[in-house]
Amino acid sequence: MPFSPACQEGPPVSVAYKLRESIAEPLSRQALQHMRALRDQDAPDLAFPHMKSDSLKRVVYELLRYCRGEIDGISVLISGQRGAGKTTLVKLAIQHVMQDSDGLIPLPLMLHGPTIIDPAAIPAAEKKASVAEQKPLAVAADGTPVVVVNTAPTPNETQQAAQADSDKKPKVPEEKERALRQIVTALYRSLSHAIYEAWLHAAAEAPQRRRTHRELLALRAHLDLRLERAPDPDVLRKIWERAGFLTCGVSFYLRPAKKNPVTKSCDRNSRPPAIAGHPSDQGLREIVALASCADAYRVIISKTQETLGRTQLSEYLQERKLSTPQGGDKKPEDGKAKSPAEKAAPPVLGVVSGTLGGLSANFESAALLAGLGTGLLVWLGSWMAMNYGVRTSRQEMRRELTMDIKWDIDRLERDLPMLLKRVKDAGFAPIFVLDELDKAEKATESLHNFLKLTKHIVTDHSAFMFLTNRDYYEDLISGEQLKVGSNQ
Amino acid sequence: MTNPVFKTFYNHRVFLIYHPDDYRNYLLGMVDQDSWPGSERFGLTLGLMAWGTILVYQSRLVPFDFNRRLKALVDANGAFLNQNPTLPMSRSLYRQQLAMQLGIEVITRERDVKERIEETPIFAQYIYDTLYLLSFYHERGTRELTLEGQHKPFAVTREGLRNHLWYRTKGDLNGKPRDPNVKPSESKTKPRDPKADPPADFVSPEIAEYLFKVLKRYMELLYYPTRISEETRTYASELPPADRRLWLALADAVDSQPLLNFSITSQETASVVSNT
Repeated sequence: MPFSPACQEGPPVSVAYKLRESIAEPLSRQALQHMRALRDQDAPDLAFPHMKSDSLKRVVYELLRYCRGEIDGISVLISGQRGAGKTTLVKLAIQHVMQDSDGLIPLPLMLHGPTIIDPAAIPAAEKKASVAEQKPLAVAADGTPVVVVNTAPTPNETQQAAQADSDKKPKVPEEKERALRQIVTALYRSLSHAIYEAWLHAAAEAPQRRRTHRELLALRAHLDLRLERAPDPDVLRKIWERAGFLTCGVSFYLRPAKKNPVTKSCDRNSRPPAIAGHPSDQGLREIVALASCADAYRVIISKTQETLGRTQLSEYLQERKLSTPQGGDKKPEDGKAKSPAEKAAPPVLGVVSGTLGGLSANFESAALLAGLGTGLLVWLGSWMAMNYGVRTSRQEMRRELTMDIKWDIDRLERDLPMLLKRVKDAGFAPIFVLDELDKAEKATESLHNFLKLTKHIVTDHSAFMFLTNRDYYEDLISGEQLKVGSNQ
Repeated sequence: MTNPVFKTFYNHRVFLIYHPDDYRNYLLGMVDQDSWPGSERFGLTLGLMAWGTILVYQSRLVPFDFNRRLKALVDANGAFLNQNPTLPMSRSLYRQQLAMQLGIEVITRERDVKERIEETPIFAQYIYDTLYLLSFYHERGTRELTLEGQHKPFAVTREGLRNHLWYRTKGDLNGKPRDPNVKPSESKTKPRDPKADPPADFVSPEIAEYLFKVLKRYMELLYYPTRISEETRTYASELPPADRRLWLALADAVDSQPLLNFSITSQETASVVSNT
């Protein structure tokens, strides 16, 4: 039945107004999967009919510059009233950059703003500590961990507790500590997830792969589980090596698949760009980035202890000729027990030689006695020479150096710029999105406190997007105007 | 004096606000047009534009509300519950909302307003919030019902306008809902709540004065809706032919009946009676 626009209200005659299917939210699972999959040329494209404004173009432009390495860090404030589409705008911008970037691959890290900047979001430290310290000390017959709580601390524990108390003294401000924990966790988790996703495409496409597709997928599952436990570089290296990805890497198999207008087929440019590093150690850079982030992540998920030891030994030998008999502190090799034959040999030889000398000259008894006397003298001389002659003495100097590596929150602050650099070396451009900031108590004050402490990280080493309610923007504008007008 | 510390926190500041055309284009993109017959394409596009304009008015330029209201128009399969493209231009309530939204767009196309909107994005937000003030009255009926059960015209003052803007800024009066049991006369005697009341540096008196005048111009338009039609036709004449036809047809949908009555008292208070 034909559709008639002229008809008035009544039952619909035909379905003319129907929302499109296959409309995916930006950065949704479907959107990312569709963007990265090598599709048939007839496969339909996903529609993204989201509202687009000049603001979106500005954000995309700046993020593209960041991914090309033209700027090392950028911080963008995105304000608007609640429901204005700030989160959608940021996600759409990142998706555009993923699609168009010929440099690093954007790595979005969505963070819950109030958890970072709002002091009310953190439970009492004592509660946290008591829960964390209850570790299973034994295992029951059925395998259940048994937690034994001993309320009377041993002297050793008391000392440890005193040490722990001194360690608990805040070195890093609370806002910064919270932020660092969240940022490092998000960085490690997102990087792990991105590399896990990249493995899927590399397993199917990489020319350097050494194993069958099925084996590579099994290796990928193994990697996923190992990443949960913040693995060591050795573990990662073995996995990469077994797959054949040690040199070529996997990161750039995360680039979008694009339809070739000439061949009409879908292909992917998986060659690492120069801004990431040399193509032949891409895999190693991925391992370095993952292992570094895993190390930092360990600080958050556990109480790690690491001791590095090094021993130096110097030995001096001195030979002295003299005169005092050696004591009983002979070295074991010097104090070896001599056999009776060895002990008797020198005096016997001396006596025999003296006697034979006397006999050879004359067989008379006086001469024989003289010979025996000579032999005894020779023996005596030999004995004295052996006991009072050359002496060896030995001196040793030992130096032991032990380092207790500090796996604390200070380490996170020191290492974060290096982590960000290594993540970029691996081919990813981290983009932190702090959402829902307006939901925090005293949002303006909390945000400014956070920014004062982390500005060097926020603006110099990474991309940060701050999503706030419009009143924060208004406060910012009016604050500037007031200060300008009042000479404060 | 040096720059304030927080000035250098952000390399870029974006104030996000979409304009009515963005919403209409969004709706046109959301609806599948592949199966539209060529002969009916104009009528269907016009109907969709009208729906888009009405939804913009109902959502007061908030994308989240726009989507929510759009989803309320469709069934489980995404098909519009009302497929008739002339419905938004024939049902009286929709025609009123269409006219009031087109009136807002007439105001925001005026040169002085347009320049301010383009210069400062936050000002665009103030302008739209000011103009949508009347939509709240429109929803509440023709007159205000007092707690004493009497009807009286809505009164708009500059201070009332500032309060409205503050409410729109905060969204929820810092989480405190309006107390319906407090009589307006009592609330005046209450001490000022620094959290609930707009601070002195929020919308200066000069800006409030300007916004009040803009609101007055809008009320005049609603009193003479034919001027909305005329201004919309003038705007249509500047557009490419395909769009021009659509906008001329939209302008024709505006009813000539006054949408409100208003008077300005000696205290410079606008007394408004909505004709819903």
